[in-house]
Amino acid sequence: MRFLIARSHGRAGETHYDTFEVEVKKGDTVLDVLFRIQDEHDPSLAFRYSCRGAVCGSCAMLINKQPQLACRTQVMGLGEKDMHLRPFPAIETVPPEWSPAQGVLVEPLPNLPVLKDLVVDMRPFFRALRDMELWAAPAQEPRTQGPEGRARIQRYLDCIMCAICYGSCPVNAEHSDYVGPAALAKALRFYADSRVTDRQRFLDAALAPNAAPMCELIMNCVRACPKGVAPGGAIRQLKALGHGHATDTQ
Amino acid sequence: MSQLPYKTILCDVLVVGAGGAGCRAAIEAAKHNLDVVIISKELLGKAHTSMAEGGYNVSLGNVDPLDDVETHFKDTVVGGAYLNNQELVEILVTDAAERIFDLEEVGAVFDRTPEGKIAQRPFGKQSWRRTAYASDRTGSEIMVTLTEAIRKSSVRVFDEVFATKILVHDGRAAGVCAVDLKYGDYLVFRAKAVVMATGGAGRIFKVTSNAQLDVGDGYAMAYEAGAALIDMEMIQFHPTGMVRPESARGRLVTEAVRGEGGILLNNRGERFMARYYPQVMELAGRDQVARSIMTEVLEGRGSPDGGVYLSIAHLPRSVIEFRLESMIEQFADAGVDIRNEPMQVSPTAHHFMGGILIDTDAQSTIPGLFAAGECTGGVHGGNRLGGNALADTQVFGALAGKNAAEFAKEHGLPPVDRDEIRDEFVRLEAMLLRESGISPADAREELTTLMWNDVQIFRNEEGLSRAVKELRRIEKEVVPNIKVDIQVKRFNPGWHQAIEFGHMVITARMVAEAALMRKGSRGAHFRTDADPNDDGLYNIVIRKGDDGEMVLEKRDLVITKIPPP
Repeated sequence: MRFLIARSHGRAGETHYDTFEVEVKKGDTVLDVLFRIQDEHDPSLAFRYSCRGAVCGSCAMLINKQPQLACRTQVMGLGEKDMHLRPFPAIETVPPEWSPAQGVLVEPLPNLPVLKDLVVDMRPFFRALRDMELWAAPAQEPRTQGPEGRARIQRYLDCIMCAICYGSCPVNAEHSDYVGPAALAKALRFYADSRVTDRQRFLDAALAPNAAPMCELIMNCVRACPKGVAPGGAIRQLKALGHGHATDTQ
Repeated sequence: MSQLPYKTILCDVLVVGAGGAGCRAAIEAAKHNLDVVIISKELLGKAHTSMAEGGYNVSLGNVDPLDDVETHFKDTVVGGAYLNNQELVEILVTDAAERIFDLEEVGAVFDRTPEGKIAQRPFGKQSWRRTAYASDRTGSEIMVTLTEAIRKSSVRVFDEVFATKILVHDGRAAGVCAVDLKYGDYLVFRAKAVVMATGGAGRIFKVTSNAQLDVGDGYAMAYEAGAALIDMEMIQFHPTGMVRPESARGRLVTEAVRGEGGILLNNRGERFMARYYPQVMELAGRDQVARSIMTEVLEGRGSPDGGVYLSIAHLPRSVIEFRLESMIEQFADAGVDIRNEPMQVSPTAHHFMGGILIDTDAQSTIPGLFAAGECTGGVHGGNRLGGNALADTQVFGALAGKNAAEFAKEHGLPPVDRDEIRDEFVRLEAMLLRESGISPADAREELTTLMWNDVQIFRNEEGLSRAVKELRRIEKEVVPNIKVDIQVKRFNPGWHQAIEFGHMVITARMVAEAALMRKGSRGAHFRTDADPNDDGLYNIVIRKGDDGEMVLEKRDLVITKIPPP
């Protein structure tokens, strides 16, 4: 099978595409293929990976124009997969030498600066977590939490910080200052945590001008999230809270 | 060759590795108002700890009120085949409770009892339900929480930086040499105290549950620096790794599946554990279950793909869907719906019980060099209980961080030897400049296949002798001839793998040499030709001798409470 892979040296500028012919077996993931290319064709091909099991969130990339984890994406099933994302330039513009019938197109995750090949600079994505101070304040005593309190935030705990939501968001594509969906889902996770005492600050952070108000509820993040976190639903709740509407978080 | 340019970073406490133990150490050290630096081979938060699924052992007694630290101690030592350093075990079981509360205080969310306490479930070889958990993504929950706590702290994070050598001056740890993977720059980190928290080395085996980067960097660096290592022959093969598809081979199937009631079946539909360990069945020790599965497979009662079946068909749907949710997803990716069909499983290299020898201050034999987590040895003896590793990372991470901070407050910044630094960077640069040689991919394939064939679950004199001989050859002939095809330094994985390969070989040699020395069976070390006169009640300590050769010696066990029977 043919693989068309975006290559670049980051700051040095231009992206070009290298073509590799790779034998693919049933069960192979895109990550397996990238390893094979690295081992057999080009050891300098750069991409991130760690756990191989959709837990660490390192290998997010754009595969056939859809943001996905390479370790969870079966090569065989790629043809029929369509996330129905609202288009924006990075997922719309197709290199002239590629069409889906001709093979697999692998590119870096959109909306973040490229460092090299498929490796992007994740700092803008993580910076939002720091800027919004998304961490719990230590409590004095071990706190109790009922199972229903835990269940309320369950969905958001599954986030693996892979940045696929950030890379799929048309707002992030246009506004580099937008904190992005993952940070907002995490803000709601703390706001809705029954053990947290200073909840308001998480809501305040989420309602800052470059946060929830920028979201247009396009919901690409919900469609693309590999862990079912549905950040767009969290943002909808945050917006409602900002308008003074009660929601079911507490 | 002239000096290659490098940047120097100064700090008080340097932590090498950013998994559960490293992050915990850095957080603790930063509480002492010191300049703390943590370096990570991966992005912060992506370490192997996040792959730990099942849980964290702590004798809270939330569901079984009779549990206590003494029972946790006993289970750990008996499970470890009496090889554990009992002083360290005492620290583990005593501090586990405080450390899980630390995690809660910074936001970690564990599963709950109806009264709102931390829920606990049964794991193999434990007297009570002791394993705290967050569904089957406990490690991920802990890693996410620690990452948030690091972000909140004053710790300076250097991620995608690969430490390659520990610098020692006048017998004291002085820092590390490292490469910035993103840009290819050479870096020297100088510190008053260093904490190693580099994790394990499952990747020296062809089939492993470990993340791609777990190649034994810390074992090799500590060895080269002259530190002592202990119990390196003790490798835990987790009984249940995925069998297919090929690309997922070795991926962990959590012990929680058996803890929640999953049963093992052979190709005749027999629940074969009844033949080996009828009292405890599927919840026998990991080493015991792994050998039972391998025996079934070797005697022709395995599945077509070379494993056995793990079935949960008899369990209530709610248990499967709420407590084993990531297993559903993991197998769905492989085209198997575990609610309706059994999983195929077989053993996979999982955990190194051995590692850097530490004392009760988490200090190695080199002053100023501390260590915590899987890169250390002694806590788990000959076999680690499921759930004790996450507890280990938190207990010893905090201990190492605290003692490294205190050491740093009492000592000045040691000098470093510029020639030593130059030689290290010249060594790394040579891999790029070499005109001909062996590719890292080919070298790695040879090494991991050798280890999987000759140093795996069932061991014997012939295989181990062959492995040792081959590894000595690889060290002499292959390592100095590793060649990277493309000379760029900027994010060049070929180069990273070439550097890693040297670490893999040293680690593999320690494992094989110690396994060859141990003639009897004990713990995870099982010899098909076991010498009945070797009761195995000793530890093997390894260090680099003055002549540069690997020196192994047997050492008496450290016993405080429970003498071996």
